[in-house]
Amino acid sequence: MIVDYDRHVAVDDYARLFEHMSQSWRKHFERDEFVGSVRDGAAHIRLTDRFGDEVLEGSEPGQEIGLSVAVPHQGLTINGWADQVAAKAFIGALNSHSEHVWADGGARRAAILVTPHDPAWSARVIRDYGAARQFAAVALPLSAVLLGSEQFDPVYEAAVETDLPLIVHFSGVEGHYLGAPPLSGGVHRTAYARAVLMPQLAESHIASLCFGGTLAKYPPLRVLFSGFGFAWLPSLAWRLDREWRTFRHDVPWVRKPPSEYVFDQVWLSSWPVREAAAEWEPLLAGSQAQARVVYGSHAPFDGDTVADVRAVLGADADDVLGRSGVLPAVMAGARA
Amino acid sequence: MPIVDCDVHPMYERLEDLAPYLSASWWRHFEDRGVRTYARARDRYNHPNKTYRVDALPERGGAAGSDPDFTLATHVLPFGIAAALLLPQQPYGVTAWGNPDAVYAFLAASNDYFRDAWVGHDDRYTLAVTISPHDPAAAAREVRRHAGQPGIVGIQLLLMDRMMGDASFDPIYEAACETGLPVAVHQSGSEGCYYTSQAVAGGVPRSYGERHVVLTQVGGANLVDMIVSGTFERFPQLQVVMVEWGFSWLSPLLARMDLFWERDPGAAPLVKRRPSDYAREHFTFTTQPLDEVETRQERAALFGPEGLDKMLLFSSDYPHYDTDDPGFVIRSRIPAAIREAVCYGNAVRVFGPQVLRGADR
Repeated sequence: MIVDYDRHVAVDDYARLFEHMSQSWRKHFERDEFVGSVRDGAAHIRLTDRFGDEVLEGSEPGQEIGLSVAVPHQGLTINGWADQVAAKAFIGALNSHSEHVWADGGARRAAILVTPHDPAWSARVIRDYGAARQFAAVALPLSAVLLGSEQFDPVYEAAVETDLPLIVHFSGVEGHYLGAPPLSGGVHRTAYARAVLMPQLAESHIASLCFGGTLAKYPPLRVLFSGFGFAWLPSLAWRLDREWRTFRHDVPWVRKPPSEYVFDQVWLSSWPVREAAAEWEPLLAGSQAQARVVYGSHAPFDGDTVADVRAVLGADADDVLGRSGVLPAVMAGARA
Repeated sequence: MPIVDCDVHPMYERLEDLAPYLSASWWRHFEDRGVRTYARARDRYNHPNKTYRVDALPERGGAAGSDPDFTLATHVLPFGIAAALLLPQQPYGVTAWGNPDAVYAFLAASNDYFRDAWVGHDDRYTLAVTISPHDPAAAAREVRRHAGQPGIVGIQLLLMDRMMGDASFDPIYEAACETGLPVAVHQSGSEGCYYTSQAVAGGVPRSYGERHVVLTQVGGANLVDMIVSGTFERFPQLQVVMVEWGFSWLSPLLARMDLFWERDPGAAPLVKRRPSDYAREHFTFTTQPLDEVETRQERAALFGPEGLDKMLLFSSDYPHYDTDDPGFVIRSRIPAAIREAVCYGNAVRVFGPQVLRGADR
């Protein structure tokens, strides 16, 4: 069965979320500028300043897809919001919309949206929805605190307890909105530069999950970095292990080379698979890093179909398309 | 085969060494107020051991790297190094200074000192003139003041908050192109420490080692920024030497740059050609710290990307704790087919034949 781990859904009108909110929150959000900003939240990383991207409401998975995990990416953009209290009402409404509209508990499932700004609340949300068939993962937007911080432990404990993988996907405001995570270097003026450098976010969080001891502390924890590409993983793995060898006495809780944790608990989704056209052979071929890549279409944005993956990866495509480690219970039918 | 070591750090022993190169008033200022010569916030990221090799401490006393004869005797001569590119590290501290006049008084004195005490001492030593972004006009003047002197082969540009594609750097790049000197960029230690410095992606790494894993990102960000900002369209002769930023991240980054640009060239309107073409024509990377690949297949992968053979410069980072041993790295890690290019060929192309002025010894 082919699983699409990187499918995006969005509402085309924020007013559709009002029925999932209390009366007082509904009154709060009923304002022209918020309702009118629906495209801002839906537009992902805009490579153009034109606010013309179409908002696609939950397009159907392709024919070969046995199961798709939808990430309501408007909810990820709360990492650029100023009001993190309202943000919880917003993603709460999106979760309810996922449960009733986008996910069917069969081939279409969704990720539970949580917030890095309130781990205790997030853990409760994960436990509330964790057993529901509609949900197959937890989507954690990125704050400016790296994921190896102990403050996220309640989220990891709930994810482990409910046997749900964590999906980490950028919202597009990283390196752009104040309060959202920075990108490396200084101020990047173009969306193009931000899109190019986005994988470094995943690198930093993976380094933090390793050196902070999170992956060692929660062996069943599974983390999928989605939308960040994958060709950079061998380089990161070499560097992780070199620095660990030099500084391991400083992080005694990291008990083996960090790459071993990564190659056991971390996955990357395949978009944009064409990165591999140049890099798959020299850097990834036969490496342990290659075995961490799972299929993600990135649809309905400029994404990759199953045919694209087959065209670029050739003989390796079946491994990527058939890999089951992120959702072993679902794939085995135990969580059907 | 001559070896050019493109990352050797000299130090002055005492601040008094700079006194002859300072006006009386600046000397009094520095003597009274002290000089901050390190950039990393040590209360924020403390190295768990020492940043230098204990066996690099000179017999006569003083800091590791402060005795030109000891560096010759323990590093240059034993490994048959024909040329060592000196990148003074004490000036890295100015990235945390706020007074541009003090910065340039100090940098000029430091440049003069290393020119006389090291480059003038032995012709195997070559120097990159250190400048900072505090005052680009003063930086350009400092470059022109030293250009053409024996053993001056490059510019060491310190980075603060502005990335290298920023137009404020243009006077520096003009001076670099006019004098034919490449711009070398080495991490200063300030990265991720201050509002005035550049950061790694995502947030604040917890420890020295964790930060060191991702520190290379800053090098990548500046490469992207220069290409996206059209720097090489404005300065087609400019050469940039990335020192100690690693290089195994380069090919995935360039693949991504090319892919997104080909899909939507209008998103980067100052980029006129394939982004990777600029990178291959204008950037070189030093080898240390060389990724510790385990297998023959991994080693082939590390050195495999197309064009990389022309982009690598051997470096040791002597006398720091993570020095790459020249004998081991050159003999056992750098593939034979590219060894001459990495050990000196690329260095001669970038720094000019004068880099090997001491090779006849």
